[in-house]
Amino acid sequence: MQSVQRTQPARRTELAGLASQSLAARARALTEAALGGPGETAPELRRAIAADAAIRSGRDSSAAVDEPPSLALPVPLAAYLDKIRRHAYRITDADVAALRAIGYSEDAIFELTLAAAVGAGQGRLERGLAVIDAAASSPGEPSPCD
Amino acid sequence: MRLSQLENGHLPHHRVLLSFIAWRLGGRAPDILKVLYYRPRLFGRPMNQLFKELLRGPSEWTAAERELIAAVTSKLNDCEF
Repeated sequence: MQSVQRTQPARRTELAGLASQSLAARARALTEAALGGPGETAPELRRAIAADAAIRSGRDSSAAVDEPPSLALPVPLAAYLDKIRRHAYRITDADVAALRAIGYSEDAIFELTLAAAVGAGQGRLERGLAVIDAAASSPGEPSPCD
Repeated sequence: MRLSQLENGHLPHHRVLLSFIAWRLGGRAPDILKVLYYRPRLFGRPMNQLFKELLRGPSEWTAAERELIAAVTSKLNDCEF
């Protein structure tokens, strides 16, 4: 593993700013591709699934301008996506077979899985960043993360 | 791998690459690569760009520290790293 020298404190803020800008741009590019890219499933559905997963995974929904979309999904799909969001390692062949049985193609399952996973990741990232922001703005306060 | 497309739905050149990686590792290609190389425009390519920036881009954390954070997080999530 390469050894990287610690940057001097004076340089840190600037570097962190640059890094997070670039990171934010790449995170946006990922979201745009996975949710808006061509596929079998409608981008609107993928966006709604991602937004739902994000809110259930820690996104502050009170800050959202729009009302979170209400999802009316077939029961097996809703159960599958919830499993993906919470503990993807518990997915079994039976979960996938249940979706195939109600007509979802493998590509559709792939797309909706990505949507839930990307949304869950976003929600967790936002929650983590909010905790850091809160800690930075009130150093004496106990952490909101317990 | 639960979706058969992720086992054998890759484009020919990616299939060759995955076979080569499997051969080099003396078994099978890691599942993460099978996912990243399936319909890469939708997910793999932008995800890889984000990985690169996150793990090797400018940061006050070293690459080794960032890899360690990722490994611990994966462990907490019961994910293979």
